[in-house]
Amino acid sequence: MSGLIFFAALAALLALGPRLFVVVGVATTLSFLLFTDYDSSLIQLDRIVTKMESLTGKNVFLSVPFFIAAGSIMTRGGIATRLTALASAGVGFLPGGLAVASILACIVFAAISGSSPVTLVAVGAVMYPALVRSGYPSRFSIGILTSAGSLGCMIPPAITMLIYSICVDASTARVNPSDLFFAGLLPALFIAGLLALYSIWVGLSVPGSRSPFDGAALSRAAREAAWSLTLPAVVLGGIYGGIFTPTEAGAVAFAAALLIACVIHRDVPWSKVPSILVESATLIGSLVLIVILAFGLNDFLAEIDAAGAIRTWVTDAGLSAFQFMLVVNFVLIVLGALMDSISATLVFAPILAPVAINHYGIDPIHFGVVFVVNMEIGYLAPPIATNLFVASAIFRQPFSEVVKSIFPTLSIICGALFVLMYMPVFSTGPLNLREGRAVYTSFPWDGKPAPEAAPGEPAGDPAAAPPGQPMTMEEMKQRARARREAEQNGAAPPDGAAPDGTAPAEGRVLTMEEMKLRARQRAEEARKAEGSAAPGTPEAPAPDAPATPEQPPR
Amino acid sequence: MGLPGRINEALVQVERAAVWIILALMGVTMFLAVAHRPAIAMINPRSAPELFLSAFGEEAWVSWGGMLGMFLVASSVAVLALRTRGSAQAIPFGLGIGAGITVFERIFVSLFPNGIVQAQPIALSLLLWLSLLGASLAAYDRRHLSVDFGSKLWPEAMRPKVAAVSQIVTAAFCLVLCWLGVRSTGDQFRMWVDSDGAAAVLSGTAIPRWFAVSAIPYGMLALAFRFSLEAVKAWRNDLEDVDELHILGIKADAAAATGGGEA
Repeated sequence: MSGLIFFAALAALLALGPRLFVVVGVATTLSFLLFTDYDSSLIQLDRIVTKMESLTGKNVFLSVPFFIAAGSIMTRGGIATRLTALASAGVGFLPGGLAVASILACIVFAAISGSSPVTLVAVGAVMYPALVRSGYPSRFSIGILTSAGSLGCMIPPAITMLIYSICVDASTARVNPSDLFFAGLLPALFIAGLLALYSIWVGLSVPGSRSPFDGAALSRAAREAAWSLTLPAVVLGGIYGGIFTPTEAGAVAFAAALLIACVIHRDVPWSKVPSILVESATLIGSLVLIVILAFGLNDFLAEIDAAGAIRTWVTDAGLSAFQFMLVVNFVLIVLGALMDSISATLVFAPILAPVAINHYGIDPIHFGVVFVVNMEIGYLAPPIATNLFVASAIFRQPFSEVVKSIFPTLSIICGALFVLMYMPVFSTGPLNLREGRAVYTSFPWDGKPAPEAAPGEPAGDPAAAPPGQPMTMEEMKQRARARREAEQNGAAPPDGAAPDGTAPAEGRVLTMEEMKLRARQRAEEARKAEGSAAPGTPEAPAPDAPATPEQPPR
Repeated sequence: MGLPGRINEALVQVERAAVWIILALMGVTMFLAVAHRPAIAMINPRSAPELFLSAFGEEAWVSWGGMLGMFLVASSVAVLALRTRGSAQAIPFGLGIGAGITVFERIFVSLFPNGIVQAQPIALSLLLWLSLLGASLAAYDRRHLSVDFGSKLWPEAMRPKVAAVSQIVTAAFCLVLCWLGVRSTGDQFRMWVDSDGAAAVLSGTAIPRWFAVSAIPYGMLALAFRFSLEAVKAWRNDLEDVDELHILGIKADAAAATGGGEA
């Protein structure tokens, strides 16, 4: 009955065409109200706000606004023109050189802007007319630019990757965003390489597709684009050089973007900076509202052990690791085509990653890369793909024409996904090499965790459900009840909270009662301890300590 | 829209000023914290070679050496940047900027010898405000993503009324969250007062949690207000459609630049 009410309410809401954050928020609220059985509904609703507040403890998330702001600042100037000029001068002599240059420009621009649609608009605006003038078929030009633009979600600093690491870090395994960034580079280059080969093949039949190599032009273009290229170099070099953390990298990118765009190139006057920051904040606001409401939904899914239910289902269905990954990819591509990548990652990464990692022994980093490639395909897969809408608008082509244009390149990316999925060496190989481990890692065909911890170090399966029938809603409620009773009785609850009931498990936010209890305890301790730190000093205790400043990876 | 419309416009001006100041403050604080770390290592060194030298009583030299290194790095970058800008006096200006940065960092190292450890907690405390104010501005600019396939199933004539109901539902949802936010902020405030500021503070700082958390009731109230205004507009059929490009923050004139008509 609860399920019926839930779906009826959600269907009624969707019929009104609501904002996405309302859909996520209402789904979260209804889930807590209908599928958990706390004594008071208020406690459940309070948890949604508590989860929203937990944003103040998510260090990694701090980089998101900075990367968005840096991208906004950098994309206002003539960076797209400089990058495309450099790429054309560098590879224009190849057959299909201009198309290959478009791909390269998209990759670098995506690394700077962190946004696929923005990359498509900025590089597409420069390269589409040039490609068509050089004799490339219009459909090919649209397809290659739209596909290469979507590589943005794989090139560091990719926000989808940051969100994945936040979600999976809280639910399953420690996933360092810098490792994920590093692991995504080779797969992105692999896809870009395949697209470049396709462009060369098409370019062979286009008479004017090659331009003679001009060393002086390349040198001039390199000088003009050098400062723009320093932004990804500074960010990636700083992270991997151990100078700063991925969180701090956002602030460095922000400062570097201001320096390059406002001081060095003077593309952006200082007077425009406030309006660009406001524009960025608007984008951040529309994104973060969905994210913080989805934290509550993740909490609910963890409470009912949705991952356990899926695990039980896949065990019951006898899915091998190979079949599981096929199903996951199919589901993710469909979801990616229906939802935006951030929301899809927020909702489904915490459900699917525990099963993939703990049940099938798939490396969390490798799974993350595959997840993000799926999201990239979601940007391109009809019917509701962001990049297709953007391409239709900016290239002034009917949507159906854009859909037809995208099929060859979409097929190439799907083929690449298949290779990447079953060859983890693409994502884990560079990390293994960096860490001095054996480079080759095979896909866990037998579905068992690898004996040696892989780069992401799966954290085991603390709440493994016994194989059997999938859990019913009643069983899920019982499980949640047992967990709460264990907490109340002072026993260690299944999610690992401390027996005093005041220390939450990682990823779980304290309830208001727990916070009050802890605050009282701390206040008493503070009063008792004479000569201890004065109230309000940094040494003063906090009710919960989720936010510990990160140390740079040295 | 009369008085509500004027309140809305005034609120937007305040929010715009607030978000850019918050974002700039967060950026500057975090950047200084990061940039300060290598400066500490260079000026106040503790690495093996420096410790080796300091064992021979050469600490002062090491510190000067670090400052010289910083001056050279800063000056080189400044000269290159000025050359790219086309400045005729790139070298003297670059050296001046390098010297200025070095002196600034020397003072900074004296003031904060252990680094700016509060930078991250301060930025985190402002993150919620930035997000909620941004969400509020996104409501004003109609930049929130919609799941609008359901609304397209309705007959054309009914769509304005359906849109109005949708805005009312959104406003009601925001009001519920506002009320929950008020409760939570009140609880945090009481805890903070009861413990004389010892509890209910952000981890590692003296910043009270109620300051960060109060962004939720404010932001949700502002969202509810804006969606209520939109509901009225939609009911009167005054609400213009927004396209995908607008929601993504892409200027419509970018499309013109592609010369799409040539294809």
